[in-house]
Amino acid sequence: MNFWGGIMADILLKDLWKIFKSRGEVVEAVKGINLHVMNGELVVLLGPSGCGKTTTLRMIAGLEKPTFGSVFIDGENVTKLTARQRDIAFVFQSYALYPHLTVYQNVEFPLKAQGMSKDVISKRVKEVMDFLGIWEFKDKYPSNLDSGAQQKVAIARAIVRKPKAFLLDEPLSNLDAKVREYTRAELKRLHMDINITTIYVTHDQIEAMSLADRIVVMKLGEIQQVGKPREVYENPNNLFVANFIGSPGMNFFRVVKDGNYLILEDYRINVNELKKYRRILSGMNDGEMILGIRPEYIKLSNSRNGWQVKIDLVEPLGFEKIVDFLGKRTSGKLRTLKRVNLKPGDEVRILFDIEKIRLFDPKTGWNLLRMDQVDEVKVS
Amino acid sequence: MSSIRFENVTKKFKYVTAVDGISFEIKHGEFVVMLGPTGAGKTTTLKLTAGIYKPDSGTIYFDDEPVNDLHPALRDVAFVFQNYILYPNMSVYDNLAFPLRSKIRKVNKDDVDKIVREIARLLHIDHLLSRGTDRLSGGEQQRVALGRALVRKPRVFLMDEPLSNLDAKLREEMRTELKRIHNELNETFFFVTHDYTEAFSMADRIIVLNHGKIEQIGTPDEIYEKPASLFVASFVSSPPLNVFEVEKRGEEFLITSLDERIRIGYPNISSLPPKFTVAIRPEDLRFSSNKNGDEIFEFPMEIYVIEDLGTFSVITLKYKNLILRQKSLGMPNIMVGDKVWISADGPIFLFDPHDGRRLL
Repeated sequence: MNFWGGIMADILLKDLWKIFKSRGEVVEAVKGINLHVMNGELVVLLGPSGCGKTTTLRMIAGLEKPTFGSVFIDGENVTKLTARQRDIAFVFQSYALYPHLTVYQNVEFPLKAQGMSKDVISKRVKEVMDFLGIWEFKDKYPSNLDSGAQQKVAIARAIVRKPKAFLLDEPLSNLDAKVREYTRAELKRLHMDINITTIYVTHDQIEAMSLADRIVVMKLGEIQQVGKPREVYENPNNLFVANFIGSPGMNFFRVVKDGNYLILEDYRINVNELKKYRRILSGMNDGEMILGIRPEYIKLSNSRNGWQVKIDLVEPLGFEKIVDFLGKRTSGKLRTLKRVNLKPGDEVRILFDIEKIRLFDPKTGWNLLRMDQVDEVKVS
Repeated sequence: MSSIRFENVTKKFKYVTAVDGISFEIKHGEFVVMLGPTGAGKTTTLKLTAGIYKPDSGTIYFDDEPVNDLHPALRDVAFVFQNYILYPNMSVYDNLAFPLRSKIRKVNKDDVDKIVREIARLLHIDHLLSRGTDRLSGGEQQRVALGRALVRKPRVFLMDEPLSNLDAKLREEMRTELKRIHNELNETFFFVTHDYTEAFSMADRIIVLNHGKIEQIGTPDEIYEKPASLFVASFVSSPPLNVFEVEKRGEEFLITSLDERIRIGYPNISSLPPKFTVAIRPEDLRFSSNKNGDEIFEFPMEIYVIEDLGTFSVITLKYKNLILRQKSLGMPNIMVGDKVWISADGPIFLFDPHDGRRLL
């Protein structure tokens, strides 16, 4: 056990709504969110701007009052409590350190405000700063630190009180690309070491994949999917999630199911090869559906099997290449390592990794192969 | 369309030299991206090309004709900015037609219509022509702004980070779109960005700029495979490049910060200076729980952070004060705290520790 001492809380959101009135228009920012964040878990709320993720976080923090529904912390209904009474720490995108105070003074500030004894304060401040690797900066002023170090000072200041839970709103988005990448890894390590219950808001799917124990994908005020990163990546609930996660997102092709075959132009896929889903598929009607497959699960065929396509564009991205291809009526993207040589105009045959094929309802956009699975959005 | 040539061009402001004696050429119909961090002098270079700034020294040529003294309005360039401005009370059609209706151009009405529709089709906004620009999404607005530059058929297109205000998904879509548009039009594109993925995905050639000076000019493959300097190599790496200092001691090489040996398999070791910088790309690093004999270090490293990012994974490795990152497709079967041995499968770059130029 480290200095943290295992303080944490579970957070339960029950049918949470937020309705605004703006210029005479009614805006439903959050529409009935149910979510249970476990003790010590790191949950990421992920979605595009306007999905309601920040509003949800602000309601948990007590900065925004829900229109309906309740927030429970450790089983206690805190909906009517102020932000201060909830004993939760937050860190925002802009870290707002006190510029006239040293790093040390910034970190000790919340403890001084609580009226703790000097000895306890200095011990605690050193512990937290050592932990985040910023003790060497203690006598510097924030403006003399790079942006990643400044954000770490903000994090130290937020957790020095040992709050029950930790809320972060896009904490990395003001950092430049390189600093963002290593600060992200450090945040992940920090959470592993102190295990404080954390809710983290971002629009960056890579951040969500990296940090989350579970990802909550949101769109227009509603939860689309809750799941472990790998699960959300491999088995998205619907087209929105499939496209939003991944860069580039999943490919979608209109196919026709005809008996045992999915037909995509001159490519015929035997559904019996989708072993895991055989039972669902055998009960499925014939007709049009949307086949989804991620760019890395498409390979070049070295036989006459597969789908005949023409290479349209090649984007060399260093580590890998993203290759755009054209079928007769549709187009898609595949991903190869940098050493594979393809150029625009090449005619090739491609194959899908059958196990990785996903099928979606063309009307509702929902994943047809997930029908048998229990929805993880639990309401207690 | 035109070619552009810079010859020893310098632009100074009161306290800084923004552009410091740069020379490069952009050929007819080429898509060239200038890549560099904030403050490198990229936007200044574009503004010099447009004639918004005048060089303090050096010469800028369009098609071998010096244009230093040519008024911006007469250079016939189109400039697309990060913050595009559309006329809010006009339809998409009128926004696109506006540059053609200017009095100097004298394009007749039928031709205006033809050009507007052709460009709208190219940008996939032909179904939006009658819509007001305030009712467009961010991506649609950026397309209209691009369209307004395209209708004019200028000699060159200058683009200053036009995608950076779009969200990630849209940016991805638009960079493919821009490359496709360029393939179709074959006009001269001069594009500026700080995002190396954007540069790599679109450029025929990339000019890497840093502190007003050119670090390297080359195709995306050349920039990636044969970086001219440590700056270039680190700028185009995600996650950050693995970099550490090494010094010679007798016949051995030691990692300066650790005083531990490193094995570098370069044949011509005697030609190396006493101190140099080693860089290994994250995807060229390998680790294994057993010693195979091809390790580059004599110590194992600890798995510090594991990030499964979907398509690939990033593993952070730690030994004392040395932190390295490894990137691979798929997910290795390891746990935080495991001890692993490190080898390299790919180029190990060596750089001069003083000026950062590549030695090997």
